[in-house]
Amino acid sequence: MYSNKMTARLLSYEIRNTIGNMFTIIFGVFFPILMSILFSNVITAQFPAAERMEVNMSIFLSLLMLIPMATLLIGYAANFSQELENNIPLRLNLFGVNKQMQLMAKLISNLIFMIGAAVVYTVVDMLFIKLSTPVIGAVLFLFVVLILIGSILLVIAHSVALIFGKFGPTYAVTMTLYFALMILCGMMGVQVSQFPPFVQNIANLIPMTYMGRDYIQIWQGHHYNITNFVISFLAFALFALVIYLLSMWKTRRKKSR
Amino acid sequence: MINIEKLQVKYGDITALNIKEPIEINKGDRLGIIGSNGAGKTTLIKAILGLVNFTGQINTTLKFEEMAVHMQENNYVKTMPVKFIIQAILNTDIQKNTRLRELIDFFEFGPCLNKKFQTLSGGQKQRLTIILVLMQNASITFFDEVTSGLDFETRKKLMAKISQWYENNENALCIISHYYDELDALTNKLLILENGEVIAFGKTSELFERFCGKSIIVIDNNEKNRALTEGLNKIEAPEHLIAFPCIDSDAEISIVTNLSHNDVNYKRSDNDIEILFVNAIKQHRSGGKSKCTAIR
Repeated sequence: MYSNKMTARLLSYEIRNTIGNMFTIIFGVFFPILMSILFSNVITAQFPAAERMEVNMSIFLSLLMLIPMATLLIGYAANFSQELENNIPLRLNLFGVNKQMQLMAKLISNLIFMIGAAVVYTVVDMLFIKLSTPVIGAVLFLFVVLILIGSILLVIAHSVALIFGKFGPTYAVTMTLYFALMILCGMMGVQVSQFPPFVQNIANLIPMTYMGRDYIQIWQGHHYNITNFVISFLAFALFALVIYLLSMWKTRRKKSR
Repeated sequence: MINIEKLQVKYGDITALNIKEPIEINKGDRLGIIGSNGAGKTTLIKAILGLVNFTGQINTTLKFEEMAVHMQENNYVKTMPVKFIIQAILNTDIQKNTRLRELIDFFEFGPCLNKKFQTLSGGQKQRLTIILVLMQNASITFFDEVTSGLDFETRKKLMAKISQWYENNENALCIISHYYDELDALTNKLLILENGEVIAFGKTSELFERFCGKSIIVIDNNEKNRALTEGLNKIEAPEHLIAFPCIDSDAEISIVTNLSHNDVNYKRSDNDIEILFVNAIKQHRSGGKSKCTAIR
């Protein structure tokens, strides 16, 4: 039976579970690829040839951020809230698979899936869109950033689903969050610099803002001060931690009083 | 093993469970929990497992992981064949785990291993959870209406298997069921609940004697039998039956002789849980005034 540690079998189970979710595959893999190819063809045509690669890069990097948001925020929340509605996590918990272990297995399997989706997205985009070749450090940096953003988004999605326990409100909240993040991080056509100052302050506490706006400098090997980027990660992680603790408190198993 | 004192569970303003007298579940106990819908049976299990808020005391040396439960409804993911679910939950390999293979064979579940959960029949779904629960080999196992929704044949077969599995097993067993034959086959103690309160708790034999007498004789409830037995002491029984309480063998012989003489079919019992239950409930509803008056 179970000890309190992650097992390869539980991880393999969660990977199968993630791959079996068509919603995540459609919105996390196919959607960003199609959007990036479409946007690239429509938008870059309006720019002079010398600027097209940079525009392509901007489209590529912005839509790359859709992958963690679609798979680990929306897709995961939809999948996990349906599991909660059917009491599947509780059933596993009653078999001795504790909540932290379940979360860890889901986190790792979903991150594996997200990295796979990002690799597929990058390879396909490189075949169809003209992108500049990144420096190796930028690729490693991107990998770390994706893992961190993905982890934080999954913890938020997991906690929201635990707090509501139902698909409907969970989906509504994560969808609202998804669009709010897209707007705040400048992925919906309006630049962060065009927002009022207090909204800009909020946007600057979200790591995706820096990915859409500044990451191209790192990709191209330019010097970039990452201090504010790191602070945004800490702020975003703190937000996730607060929601997570709230969800743990709400779903705790009761002891005698 | 588990000691319950002054336990109260409320859902909003409604008191779902209000146990005043101590309840103790010991090692090796075979406890049946009975009561009408809404009596608080499942709530009691949920309180013991820490799944609902409660006030009062549930004292136990057991950790949550040392208790196993088969809930009324048990669901699993639909994205993979059940063999992967089994292996992940039990953290083992079906091929290498002799005890698991034995259980799978015992419950004839082998042909279902490559199927997805949603394609299993009701009985197969129940067997899947039973296998997982029994593999836990917990100090206490709760079965909450394991057989509800199953056809008669599957139900009988499943209970026979569970009964066989628990022979010579020292772990405690708690069963919620509306089927008295299941309780009769698997339990020797009863906890009777109504509207969240304990009506009776103890060994089935002792409760039977308290509410029904040493034994009972049961006949069909028809016009002929009613006329024939008019004037005899009767106790509460399901609508289609008439039950006579007997205080000793002489009383039993007297009734049986009379029935045989009049060519009436009868059944004798000293452990009929259904009749025990209806009489316990009747006595409780009448405020304890309706005592059993057995025939001498």
